[in-house]
Amino acid sequence: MKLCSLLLSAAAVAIAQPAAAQATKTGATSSASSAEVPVSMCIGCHSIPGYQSSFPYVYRVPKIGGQSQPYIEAALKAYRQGARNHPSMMAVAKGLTDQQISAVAAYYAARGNAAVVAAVK
Amino acid sequence: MRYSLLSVAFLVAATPVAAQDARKGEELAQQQCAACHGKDFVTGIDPTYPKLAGQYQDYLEKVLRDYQTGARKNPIMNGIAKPLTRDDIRNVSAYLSALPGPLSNQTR
Repeated sequence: MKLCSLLLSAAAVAIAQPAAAQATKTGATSSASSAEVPVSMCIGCHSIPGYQSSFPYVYRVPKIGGQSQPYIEAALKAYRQGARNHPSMMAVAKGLTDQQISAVAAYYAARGNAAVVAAVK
Repeated sequence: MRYSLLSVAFLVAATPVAAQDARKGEELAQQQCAACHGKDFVTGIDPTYPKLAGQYQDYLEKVLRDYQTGARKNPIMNGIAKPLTRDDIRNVSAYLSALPGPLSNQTR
């Protein structure tokens, strides 16, 4: 099962790579704004409200819009190193450079729930 | 038929407390989590600490279980999650998930 999901996610990454080249640059506000933002690999799970994943423990994939940029960077690097363990996230993170990681993190950090952000401040 | 309906009603009435208790969760969160993740669970003391307010309850429960078993490793979080009961995890996750915060999955 694990191998199966690994293969599946590897395939998903392979398919997503070319599309990433055309990924929109909007939203990358950090120093990495010149890098491509390969969010096409993220949206299939993280931009579907309530989307559930990960047999055998089914839970909703976390909301990452509005999460802090350093946290998202740290999480992706931990997945890339294998320090944090999740088959599809490891496969996705392995294909990312440091620059792409900070671009993705900046992209999502800038996409919080705007109304709530304003109210909290 | 009438009896079975009655017993269903009785069962429903008898089991509510087991579910989750956000007030207990609040107490626990303020004691155990707020010092690092912030009293509002949005502004933590370190930017690498995740925002928890408004995160999905079942994801938070999963993360705490992983820290408890050691499937996910972090010296601080492993220590904090270890003594938690199943109810503790459910309560604290219920409380945190209901808080207002910037987390969103409407990111397209």
